[in-house]
Amino acid sequence: MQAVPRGQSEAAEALALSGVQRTWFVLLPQALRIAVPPIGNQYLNLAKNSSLAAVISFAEITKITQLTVANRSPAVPSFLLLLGIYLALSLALSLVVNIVNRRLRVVER
Amino acid sequence: MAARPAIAEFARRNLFRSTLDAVVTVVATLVIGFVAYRLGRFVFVTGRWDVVRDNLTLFMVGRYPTDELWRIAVAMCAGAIWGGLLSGALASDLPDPRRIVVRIWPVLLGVLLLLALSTTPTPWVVAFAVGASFMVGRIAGRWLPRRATALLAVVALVGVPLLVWMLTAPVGWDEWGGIMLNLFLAAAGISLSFPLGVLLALGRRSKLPLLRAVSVVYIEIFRGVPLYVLLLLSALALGFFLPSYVEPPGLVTRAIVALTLFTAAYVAEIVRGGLQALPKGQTEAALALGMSPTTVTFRIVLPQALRAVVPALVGQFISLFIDTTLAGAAMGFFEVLNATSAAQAQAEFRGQQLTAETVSFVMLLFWIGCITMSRESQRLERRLGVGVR
Repeated sequence: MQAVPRGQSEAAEALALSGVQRTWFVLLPQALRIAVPPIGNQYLNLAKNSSLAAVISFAEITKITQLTVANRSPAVPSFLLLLGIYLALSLALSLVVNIVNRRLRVVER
Repeated sequence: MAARPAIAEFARRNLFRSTLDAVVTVVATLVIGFVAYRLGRFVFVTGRWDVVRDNLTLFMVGRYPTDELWRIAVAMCAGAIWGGLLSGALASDLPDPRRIVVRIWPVLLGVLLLLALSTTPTPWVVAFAVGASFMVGRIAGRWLPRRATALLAVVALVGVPLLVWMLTAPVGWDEWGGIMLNLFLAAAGISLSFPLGVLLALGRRSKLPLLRAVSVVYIEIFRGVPLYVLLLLSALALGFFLPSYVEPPGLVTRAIVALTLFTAAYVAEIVRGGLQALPKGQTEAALALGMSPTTVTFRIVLPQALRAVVPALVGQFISLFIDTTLAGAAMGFFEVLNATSAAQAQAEFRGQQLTAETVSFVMLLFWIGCITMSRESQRLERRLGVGVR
């Protein structure tokens, strides 16, 4: 929100918009566009951090891989497969973020 | 009409201006009051802090041999003297003690808490010795010229391996534990991932296609996989990637490798951001002055690019410090979080659900480390003039 030019806020005030209207219709739409890449990064982190559920023994894919390796499934291929799955997930998500970013990017005049 | 008391006036203006404000104020007060009450009750009434008090050594240094603990104290004093010399060389006049307290109050709070929890006089002696070492270095450092910082950097490059060698003489770092191990992992990870990350960032912007491709593939792969899985892989499977005549490295070494490789990819992206933000005219002007491309990179481009990304870099290093507990969870060595499990498994504390006490103590230790790093980075940012020039 700090990256939105001050003139926007001042212009909205000059048009007699209320504080809520100014935030909701003028500042937030522009601020969210600017914030798409960092928000996308944060979502990517969130997707990857879902593997942390394994630390508290939640049976998600990382924990299951750990269990299969403990049951004499070969360690290296299992973990490389797991890495591949996460990599595919991340790349797919970052593709979506890039498309959204291209659509919503503030076009500089 | 009598003048209204200042507090009532303040409340009417800021807290009860409209109906909505009044509702928000009442609800927020109730929520904050409830949380504060429960927290206060936990800290001062129901919390069983004896589990922390009895295991303070375990949380600090793990199972480091008791007879060899002097080595840690000596290392801390040496570090304090070095830090004193550095700060003395940078600023010759002694600052006002009140400003020091304001600057490092989280650290002082942590030290005082640890001293209050300790039951033997040794921690007091160590704390006094470290403080005195810093003051000796600080006073001696006033006679050093400002340019001596380069010399001090060389001293650190030689001295840190010496200190690590001294600490590993009785037991290798795979036998270390407690918050000492977390700090060691973080320090090793930071000092190794920073140069690797800078090289990768330069590689990604290189004109050589192969170098660029390698950097891009490396960065995208390591940014695309979770750290926890990487740590598990290096714990269980690193031996498969090494030739059989090489003795597989210990778990702590593996953790350092995994943390370094992971963080380097993020450092590379941060540094690349700084490199992109630098105006092209800087490089062109330097080349026009007849500098070699290497000189341009290391004397013109990197100093300005790195200065711009100090806050982001420190943020990354803070998460590296936090992620050292993740390495403990994945690999099972005796860092501070695993030390809390060990403390709860002891005969006198078993089955009493003391997770809240031990883990909140560890959280406080990490908070002190992270808030100090973040505040120092903000200070550095102000001094370097990021965002001003």
